[in-house]
Amino acid sequence: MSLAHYGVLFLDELPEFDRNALEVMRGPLEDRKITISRANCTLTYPCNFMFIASMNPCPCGYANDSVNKCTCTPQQISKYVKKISGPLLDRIDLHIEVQPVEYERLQDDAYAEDSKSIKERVNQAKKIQKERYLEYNVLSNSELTQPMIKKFCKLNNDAQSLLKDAFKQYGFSARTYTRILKVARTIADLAKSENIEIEHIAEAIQYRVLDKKISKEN
Amino acid sequence: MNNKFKILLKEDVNFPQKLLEMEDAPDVLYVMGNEKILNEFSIAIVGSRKCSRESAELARMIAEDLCESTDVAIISGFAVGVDTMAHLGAINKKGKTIAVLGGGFNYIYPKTNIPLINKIIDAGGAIISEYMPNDIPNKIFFHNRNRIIAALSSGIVVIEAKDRSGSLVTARYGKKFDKKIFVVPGDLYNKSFEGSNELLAKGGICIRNCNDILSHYSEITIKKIKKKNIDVPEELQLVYSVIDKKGKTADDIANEINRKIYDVLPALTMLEIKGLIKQYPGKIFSL
Repeated sequence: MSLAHYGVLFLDELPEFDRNALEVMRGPLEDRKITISRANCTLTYPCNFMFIASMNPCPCGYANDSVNKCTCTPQQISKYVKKISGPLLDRIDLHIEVQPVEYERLQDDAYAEDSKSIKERVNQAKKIQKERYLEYNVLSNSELTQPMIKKFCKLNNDAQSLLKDAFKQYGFSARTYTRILKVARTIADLAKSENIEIEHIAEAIQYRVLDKKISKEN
Repeated sequence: MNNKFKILLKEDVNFPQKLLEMEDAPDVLYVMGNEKILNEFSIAIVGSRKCSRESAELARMIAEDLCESTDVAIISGFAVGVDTMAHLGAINKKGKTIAVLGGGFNYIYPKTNIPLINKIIDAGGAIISEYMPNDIPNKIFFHNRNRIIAALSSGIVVIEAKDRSGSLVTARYGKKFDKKIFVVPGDLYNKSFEGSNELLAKGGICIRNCNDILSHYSEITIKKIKKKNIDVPEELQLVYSVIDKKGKTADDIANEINRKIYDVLPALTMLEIKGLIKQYPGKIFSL
């Protein structure tokens, strides 16, 4: 993990990793440093990295697919998904689900924002954050500490009540609360908005799909 | 199981009279919950364990609508998929539902459905089994409990049935006992609906919703339900207008109204929190 310091750590097929290996990542993800204790010494390495992981919705990969039928039993799916613990999911800022790409889509040239203009927007947002946190020794929203969140992620009443409703409905954890605020702060920065508005909170909630109780039976 | 259960003998008043018409009626029934509803008018909803999202939703909707507009009880087999959704639909509307198990109460199957038991009892429903508490569920038991579902009900709704599936067994018993068989049609070339379509070809009644079922029973009193006024705020109406019952991904919704995905997501959250739309795994939204 320390090798990925200021870089990206990408884990493909996340549930295929050993559960213990995944669980030890929780601390380093939060503290951005990793401590290794051996018989004669304790070493601490820095590991401020971007964590990206991907997984299938079920062992066969076809759950939720509109074309192919999934052949997994509900027990298999739940066992597979449960390999990623709630506390680990809590520490991931953005959850995104993607659908398979149909053949027609591969060829059509429907408009999508190109990477160049996205890069421009991202850089701009990073600049805003850098300037805002000049005297706080942090670079981006993701590194905000609790007092800083209180200071920079203020919500108006509308946004406040939306977040409250969302918490009631989906049963979010306390850790999720700060995640949503940080992500909403970033969305607001990308939109060059000084304050976090209700739509920024609403968008941030959409990136918490995996820990929402999505109308699953029981 | 910690729940107390009762034992109903053939001679008991509350023993479902409908079962006595069978040649192989059980001598004993084990019951958790409200045994009085076993003699009431009821409709069975059965179907695939591995059903599509649309079928699962339909099962729930039909059960919800039946319980909301009438006093009928919903019977099903407590399996995952359509059965579970039918029970849940009834519970959602505080309706009565009867789960017929294919094993003893000490071996509730599937285990994932154990929380459902208390919900059924709390809503005034019942869980029944003809097997002794220590009988382990097996294929033959499941096959046989289908005959109880068929005998107890006044009509059987088959939602998604493959060829040679358990739902067809229930329907076959239903025909034998002279019950109405209602079938939701499916794609002719979709294997998951082979059994459903076969039932239709052999005289099953084609239905699309709860009203199609109720029109076949003159004896049921239909309660008037107040139509809920759906109040969609103006700024959400564009997104709301393209969402249907079948479900669409967030990307498709954005494409359809020519907006960027990040313009659509906030509206989807608001609609979801207001309870106007539902989200399903795969970022799929439906009414």
